[in-house]
Amino acid sequence: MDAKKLIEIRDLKVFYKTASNLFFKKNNDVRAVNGVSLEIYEKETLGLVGESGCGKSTLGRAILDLRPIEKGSINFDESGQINNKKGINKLNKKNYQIIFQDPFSSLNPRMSVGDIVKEPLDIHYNLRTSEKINRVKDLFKMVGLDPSYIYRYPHEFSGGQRQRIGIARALAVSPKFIVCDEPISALDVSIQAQIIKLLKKLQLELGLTLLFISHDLSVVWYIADRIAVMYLGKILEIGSKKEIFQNPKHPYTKALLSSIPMPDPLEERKREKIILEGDMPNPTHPPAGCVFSSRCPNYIDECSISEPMLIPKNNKHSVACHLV
Amino acid sequence: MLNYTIKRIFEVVPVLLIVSTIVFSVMHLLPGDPTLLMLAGAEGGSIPQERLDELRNIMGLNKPLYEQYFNFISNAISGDLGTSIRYRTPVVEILLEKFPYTIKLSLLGLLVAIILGIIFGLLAALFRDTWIDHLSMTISLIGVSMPIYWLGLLLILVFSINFNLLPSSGATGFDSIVLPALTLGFVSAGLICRLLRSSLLEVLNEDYIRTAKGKGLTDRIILIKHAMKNAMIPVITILGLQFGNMLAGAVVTETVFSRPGLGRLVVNGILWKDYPLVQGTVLFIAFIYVFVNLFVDVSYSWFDPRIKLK
Amino acid sequence: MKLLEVKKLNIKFNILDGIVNAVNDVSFEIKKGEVLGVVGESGSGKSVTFLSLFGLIPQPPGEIVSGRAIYKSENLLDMSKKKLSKLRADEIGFIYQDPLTSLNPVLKIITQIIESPVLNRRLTKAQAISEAKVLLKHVGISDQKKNYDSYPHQFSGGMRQRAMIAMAIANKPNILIADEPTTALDVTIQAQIIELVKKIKDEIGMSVVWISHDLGVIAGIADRVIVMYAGYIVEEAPVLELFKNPKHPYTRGLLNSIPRINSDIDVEGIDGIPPDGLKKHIGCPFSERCSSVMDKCINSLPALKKIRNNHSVSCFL
Repeated sequence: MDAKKLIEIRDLKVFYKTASNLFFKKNNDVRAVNGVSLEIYEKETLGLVGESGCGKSTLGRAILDLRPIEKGSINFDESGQINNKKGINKLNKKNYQIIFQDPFSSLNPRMSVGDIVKEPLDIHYNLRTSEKINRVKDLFKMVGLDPSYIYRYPHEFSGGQRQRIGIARALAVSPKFIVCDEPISALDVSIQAQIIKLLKKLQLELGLTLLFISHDLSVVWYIADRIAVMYLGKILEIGSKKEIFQNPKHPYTKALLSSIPMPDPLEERKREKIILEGDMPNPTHPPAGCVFSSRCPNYIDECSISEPMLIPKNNKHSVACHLV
Repeated sequence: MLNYTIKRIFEVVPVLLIVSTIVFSVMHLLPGDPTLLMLAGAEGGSIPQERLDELRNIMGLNKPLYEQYFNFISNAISGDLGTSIRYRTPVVEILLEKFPYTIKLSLLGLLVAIILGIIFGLLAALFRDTWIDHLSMTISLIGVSMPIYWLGLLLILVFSINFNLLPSSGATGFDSIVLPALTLGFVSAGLICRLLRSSLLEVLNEDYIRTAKGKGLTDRIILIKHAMKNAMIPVITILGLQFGNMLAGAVVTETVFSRPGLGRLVVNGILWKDYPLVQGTVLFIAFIYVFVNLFVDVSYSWFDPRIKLK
Repeated sequence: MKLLEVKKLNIKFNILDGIVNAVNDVSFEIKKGEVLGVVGESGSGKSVTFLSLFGLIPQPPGEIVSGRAIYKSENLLDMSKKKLSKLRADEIGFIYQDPLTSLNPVLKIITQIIESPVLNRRLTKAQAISEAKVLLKHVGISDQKKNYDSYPHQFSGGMRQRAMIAMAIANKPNILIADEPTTALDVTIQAQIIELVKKIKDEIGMSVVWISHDLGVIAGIADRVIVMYAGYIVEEAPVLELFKNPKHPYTRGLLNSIPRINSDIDVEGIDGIPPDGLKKHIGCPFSERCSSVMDKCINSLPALKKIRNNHSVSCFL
């Protein structure tokens, strides 16, 4: 790839600690991210998909230093590094922003929406108030909201409008990289389409790099360039959009793709769906070997013995599976 | 669960230490000389300084404060809470004799609070926004705001003096405990009533109540089996604290109704500057309170299985 | 064979801010053994319609203003509370969107499953428990002791939904009302649950009302579909017909909002925001967002008209 690397993640582990037992040192930490290595290139949209509990949200937040990391490192091109071992924790936050999932709780109900979008400017820039207000109005226009709304409060807006405000807030400081943590899951379908169109447009216009976290594969098809599939804290497969959707190699990816409901009755009834047994195991005690071994339809003994590495099959597609 | 219990038991120790330190300091900071009070009663007139000093020496009051404190703590651990200056008997004996009265009163007060609180809270929630609701809320507001001594005196006025139904003092059998228990429990009843009402209203709006209705269960089953068990959770939480209030309120109640018990013991002890008695009694009350709360916390998981005590 | 016939149902809510006309002149039928898909977004009135028929919408603040709902020759809306309750117990099953909040957190799952059979079919507790164990196994919850002693929070989301299904079918209902049952579940679990409901439907021979905003799910499970917007039915058709020939601009807009995998077609979305129910409409409720809006649409309400093979639309186009 000729594109420049913006973020490089090496062997990242992020755990949630549980209360320690008085007498026994039981290891009950939730291994949300359990050894992830990943690169994110400039101006691309990387889709991070997986089901609930796979660790994708945690990964997104760890990248932005919103969660402490257990092991591993995150390198940002010139802007710094997060490395637990070396005790480094430097990240120029201006370049790295986030859009949250819940439009109803991610906006402070006591601040006017204009103030919410202006706040990042207050923190990172030294401008006159009138300049900041103009910038806020421009941002509102950019996300499709009437600039005269800046004095209103969050509760006066619908879910989709609030999400636009969240986008405006993230764009306020002209970041290079935005983590979009399930930004449309809480919205109606017709509004979801508005927002993903907006994000796609903005990404092209402003040259943004996006990490788009979602459990909805149809949306990820629309917006992402490359896709990483995550399960129980590990990346099982990563590749270009076309490769993943048209040539999936990992059994989990195949099952995921076959479960997506298609708005086409004939297709739906014809399709052979791969129905997985059981549920995702508890992230405090992942299975030995491959994390997917407990549910894999193609399971062989080797899968419980050693963990498959993420190996490139061609320059656009890597899989972690013993059978591929 | 065992771990949790043990951890909590260990936490009791610092609490008791802090309580005893506070009690000790306060007692010794108050003006007044216990020896004077003791001898003044016995001999009348002015007392020669040597007698006072002699008594002070015997009682160990001339030793430095930290030494007195250390003695107090080390004795307490071995079960010796000292000897009451006034009664000349070991404090432990006095406590064991008096505390049943207070415990009985407190428990009965708590029972009154629970029964009245639950009944009126339930009615208020079920008949929301009707006169029943408004009446319950008004009465509970009065209960929460009313000082115990005032309520006690009022009840005495009405039931003892006017109607001559119940005794106004003493500890003779069941009759005499009715009014004190009512007085003591009324305040907590008000609190429980309001809490249960809001908790129940919230629970009745939950999805699982709709599920229960959808299954065709009767309103009675839904209320008692589904709703109440959930609604009572916040009430149980404060029961431990409420018991503490009972113990504290017992002081005033026992005084108003002239009943024997730990409360009066403490009050009189303070007046007489009877250090060992006050220290021992307060420590004892603190002990009871802490253990009741521990019990409530540990039994909490029976009511709410989502709480896993680790 | 018609099981349930609803005619011109009107429901409103009296809230602090005003009156919300949640359901407007809604008429439809449920036939024996069919799956009726109900599609709509927030504010469409899809849940309120079905829950209120069986007395699950509190009145106040809700109010069934007018309409008839004939089930086995009786009008549900005139039934006494007691009779309606018995009906719910014996003949209707419900599954809801969030199995965590829809199950009582302080009661064991198995306790909640046996409640209705014990009360309404007069089984002994022991009989009901052994029946419940069979049911749980049937819905895919293995028969280990820990499962029978579990509380809802100890199950995963998929297992909770299965438990709720077991609870709903315990008395072998005639109609299963499924209100967004897979919306809160992961996509692989969603597939499991859909398969399960299909299997049970065939075994018991019950009708299913599947309410969802997800057109993909509806495409896979429904026989007939009604599309709702702002409390009105805007389109009704058999499933193949609806997806092949959507007529109402809203239905089309919805279909255009879903990104199609492996194709490069852009999504369109629908301009504007979802209806909030408080505003009074004179004309078509979709007129504010419709790309083909005409003057007529703002002033008068189009009626639901049949255009061909069981396909009805309410639109002036």
